[in-house]
Amino acid sequence: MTGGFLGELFAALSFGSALVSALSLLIGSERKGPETPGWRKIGYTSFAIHAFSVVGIIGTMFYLIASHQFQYHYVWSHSSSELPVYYMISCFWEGQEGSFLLWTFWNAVLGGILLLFGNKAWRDTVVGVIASVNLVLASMILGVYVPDLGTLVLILLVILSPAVYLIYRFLQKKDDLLSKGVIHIAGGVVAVISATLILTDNSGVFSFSKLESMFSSGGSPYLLAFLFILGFTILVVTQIVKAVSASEKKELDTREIFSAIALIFVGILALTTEIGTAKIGSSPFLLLKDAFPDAPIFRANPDFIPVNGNGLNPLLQNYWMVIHPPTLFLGFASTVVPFAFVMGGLITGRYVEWIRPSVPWLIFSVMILGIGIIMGGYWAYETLNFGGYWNWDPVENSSLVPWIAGIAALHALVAYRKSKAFLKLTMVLVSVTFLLVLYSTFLTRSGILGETSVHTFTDLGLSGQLILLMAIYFIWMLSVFVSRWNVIPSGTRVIRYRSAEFVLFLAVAVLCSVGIIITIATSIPVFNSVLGTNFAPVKDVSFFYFRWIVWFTIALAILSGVGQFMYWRRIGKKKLSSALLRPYLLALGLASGMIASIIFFTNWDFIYEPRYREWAELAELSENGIIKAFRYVRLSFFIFTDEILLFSALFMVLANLDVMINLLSKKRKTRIVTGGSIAHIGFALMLIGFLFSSGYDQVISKNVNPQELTALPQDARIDNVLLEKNRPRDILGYQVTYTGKKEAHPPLEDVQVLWQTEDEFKVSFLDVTGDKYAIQLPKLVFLNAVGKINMDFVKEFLDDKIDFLRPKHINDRTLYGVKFTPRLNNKDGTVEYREDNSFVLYPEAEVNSEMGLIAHPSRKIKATSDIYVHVSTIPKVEEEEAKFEFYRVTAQIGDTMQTARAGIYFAGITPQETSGTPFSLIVQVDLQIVTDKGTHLVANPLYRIDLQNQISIKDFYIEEIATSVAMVSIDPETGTFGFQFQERTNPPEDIIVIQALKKPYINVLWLGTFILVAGFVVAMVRRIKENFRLGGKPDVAEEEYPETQERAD
Amino acid sequence: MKTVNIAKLIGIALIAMLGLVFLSFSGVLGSASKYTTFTEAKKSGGSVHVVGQWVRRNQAHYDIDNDIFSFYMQDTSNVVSMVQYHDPQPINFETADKIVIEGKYLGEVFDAERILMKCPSKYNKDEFTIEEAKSS
Repeated sequence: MTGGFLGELFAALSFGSALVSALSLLIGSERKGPETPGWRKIGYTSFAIHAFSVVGIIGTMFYLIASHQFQYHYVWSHSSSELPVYYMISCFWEGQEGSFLLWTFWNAVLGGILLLFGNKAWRDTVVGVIASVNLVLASMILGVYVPDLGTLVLILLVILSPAVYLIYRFLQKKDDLLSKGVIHIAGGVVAVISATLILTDNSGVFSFSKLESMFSSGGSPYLLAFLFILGFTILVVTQIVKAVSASEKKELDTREIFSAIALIFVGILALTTEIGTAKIGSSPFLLLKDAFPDAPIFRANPDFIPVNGNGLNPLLQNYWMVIHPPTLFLGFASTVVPFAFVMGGLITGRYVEWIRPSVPWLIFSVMILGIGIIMGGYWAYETLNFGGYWNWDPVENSSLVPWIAGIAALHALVAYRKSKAFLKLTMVLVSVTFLLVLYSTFLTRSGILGETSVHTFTDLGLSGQLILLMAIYFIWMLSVFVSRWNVIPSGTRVIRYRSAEFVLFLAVAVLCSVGIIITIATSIPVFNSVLGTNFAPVKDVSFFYFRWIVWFTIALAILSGVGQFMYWRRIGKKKLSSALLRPYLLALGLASGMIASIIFFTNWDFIYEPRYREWAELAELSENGIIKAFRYVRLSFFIFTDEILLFSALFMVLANLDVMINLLSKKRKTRIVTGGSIAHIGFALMLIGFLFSSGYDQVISKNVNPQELTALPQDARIDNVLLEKNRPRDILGYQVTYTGKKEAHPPLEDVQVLWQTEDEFKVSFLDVTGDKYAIQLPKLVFLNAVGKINMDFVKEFLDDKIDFLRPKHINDRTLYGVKFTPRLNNKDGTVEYREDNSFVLYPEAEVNSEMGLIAHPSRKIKATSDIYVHVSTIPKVEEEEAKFEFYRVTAQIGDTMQTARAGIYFAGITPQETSGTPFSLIVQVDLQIVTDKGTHLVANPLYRIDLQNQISIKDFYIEEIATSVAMVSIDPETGTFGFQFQERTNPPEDIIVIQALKKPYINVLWLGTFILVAGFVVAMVRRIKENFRLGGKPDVAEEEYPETQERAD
Repeated sequence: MKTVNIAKLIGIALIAMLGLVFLSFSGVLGSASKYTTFTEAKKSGGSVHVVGQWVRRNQAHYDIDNDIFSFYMQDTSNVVSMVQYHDPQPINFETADKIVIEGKYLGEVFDAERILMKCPSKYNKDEFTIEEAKSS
């Protein structure tokens, strides 16, 4: 109980301190002229308190999870006693509350770093903005339910804010004739529009119904809200008109515009909000009994505490899930820093100076976000069974779009630093990156994606707060931009076509285009809920995105090659083309070679080949000439895309490599500026990796047994094979054999109790191979004298009986052994199986009572490709009652005995050493078995005679043929031996259906990722150094490197 | 020296972008089918999304040799149709309380290209049963 109370205390403290910090720092930073040390002191101190309390919340939560306090709803929902410590960390952010906390935490860390080491001139605003974000985030985990609080706040806002606003205006005494006149005209227009809106019903017919509803139950806020919208719309319009018509350009008052726009939104909110109870945030420290007050168990026993939690989603029980979310959230969180610099720059009138200190942060942000996204992809590749790393799921897209925006912002920024043009564009893009992060948060957490995504969070009823979060920053950004737009220096107004900045601008435009397409396609559910339409999500997702994006990607690759040359090399008119000729020819040659080798030496097919064939048929069949022509053009446009993409990516690698070598070979000074070209090379390699691993991936689990194939319909997609245990089957390039489930073998180690109830307990242990298993046991049998579980006895028992108990791996997983043996078709028609190159993969599956079969793939990583296999289904086998047949056979050494499913060769007997008891004889029988499936096995039953001629026999169970064998007699005179067979006549079938894929050159993708990150690191180091070197001095453009200067005109 | 005014450049880019927004909207909405019913799907013959429930009393069947999974589904207008799918029974199929199929009619059988499952997941916390709390 105390833990949760402490946590809630920290949560409240973090909210309050963020509020104080944000207000003081932002108010302080808006003041110009004399220093405002008082505000600053309060702001910094409260930020420190905020950071401390965030750490406090997290510490408390982790303590609750680690000590398995299942009386807490969050702990119960996301964790269980079985979880090892590192997965306890990931269950911390499985839920929404935890991941909000993660975000808050990173913001606190970033704010702390900026406070301690940041540029003093920017500290106030930047930390203030971060505090304001954390204020909103902290409200998400407050979990306060107050009856009618919403209504109360609304009424207060609606009544009080106009009063405050009017007083503010009065104090300013800003009045002139022009604005009065404009107010009257604009007011008239707005009044007419509003009256029309209010006096007509939804179909546009004159009616009083809306007006009536305003005055009915709780009507007063509605009417006030309406007046409100009216008044402040007029104000905003006037302000804008004033700004545009004013002869002298000057700053408008941000606060005035912000408050006016905000008040309009408050009015709209008041109009649309239902009056009732309000819930602010969702607390992670909620008690289970408060979450389910109506559950019968709590009515019967209010102190009930569940023994175990619900557990962590098995898909998240992967080490990538321990590091992917924090990385991604650090990426998300860090986008606020460049945003804060832009806002700070605008508010305080430092329109250009914000750039230098914010560049390293922008690079850091896109780097971390990129790493986070790729980690998520790698996790999906390793854990999920859709066979890839990217599924164009809305959740994935909504993390990709901010990254693309960030990259666009970075390039716009570079263009600005090169040419002193595009300042406004840069500012807008940096801000939009942050807004997109907020939009992405809204998409994934409001539950709006619903059916279109597999991994959104559950809706916690925070949609309102999430919309508010977006609205606040959108309005703020809008008002700051509107009030300062006129005074932002325009800088260079004209650029040359043949210049790096022009190429950079094109790249920015292309990046924005890609971002827009993805955003629109991902936002269909949002359009549906806003517009009331009923559009289903995009069909055939991967082809849709491929079709829309691939040419933009090709353009980017080529622009990057050309742009880098223009940026770093002195280029006259002739020189550019001749300089680019080398990478161009090299790329062309390399691409042709690679394509030729794909055509002649592999059986690879581009993944969309069947679709192009469909398109060709469609074109062939169309009767209308224009449509026919259009369809052929479309087809021809796409049919060589993979080849062109390969060429342009290679061009990107080579051109950037050329530039990089050039920079490295010059003076030492230019080494540090290679970050851009390194990052570009990495990205190009990623493109090549994408193209090969996804474009040329291949289902190899095709049944290639010709007799079986003829019976099948032609269009059936035979992408799965059924495997019976120990029966090898041929698929493309391999022979696969299901070798059975992986079972635990003694000796066991590290036996630990996971949880216990009054009559049962569960233990986990490691078997001889180091795999972790778990089993549930009755408690009574294993209790010692003092009523505790006797662990030694448990271990002894398990060691002895493990073969019979056959426990599952921990978390109810079963590992299925699938052996792959490479199969070569020799030229002379013979088939060769390369046993020495064979490998066994263990795809996992878990039959979850709630989620059904959950399959986890397994991979063989090879230099040129990954072999990827997952269980697609485990056919249900009706478990019959076992029936046995007994019979006896006599044999001499060297004989072969025939059973129903095997031939058994009697190789001989080996007398064993008799330890301890003299005058007794133990004989081990050596049997060699060939089953009807062609497998070779060995069986060693035992036979023992002691002094009293007592015979004891140990039989040997041969699982593969469901038969046990024992030697029952020895006739020394004739040299014959008696054997007894116990054969199951209805052996249990052990079958699985698997799918196997081959992903060529996926390693190039991972390699590219590393190089991309390396490039970012180099670039970031350069920019940090630059900041330290220049300190508070004015900005120096790229002219620092005269030998790379291009302005020769 | 050929030059371009930045304002003009950005203007052109914005117009192009607007065109792209329009295009991709029409592309998205054009390729996006609407949620519909079996009756309409049969009438239109095109590729559609249908939402419904698996009719549990008619068992689902997976034909291993031909890799065809077939079952009966009842749509939101309570029309029942046979559905086939060229892959094994999807994971979560049996526990799904709502399914969305994407495909078109081939004769009397709805040929699904994709099946989406809407599951009352254990990991959604909107239900609480004591049984779950007691054993793992």
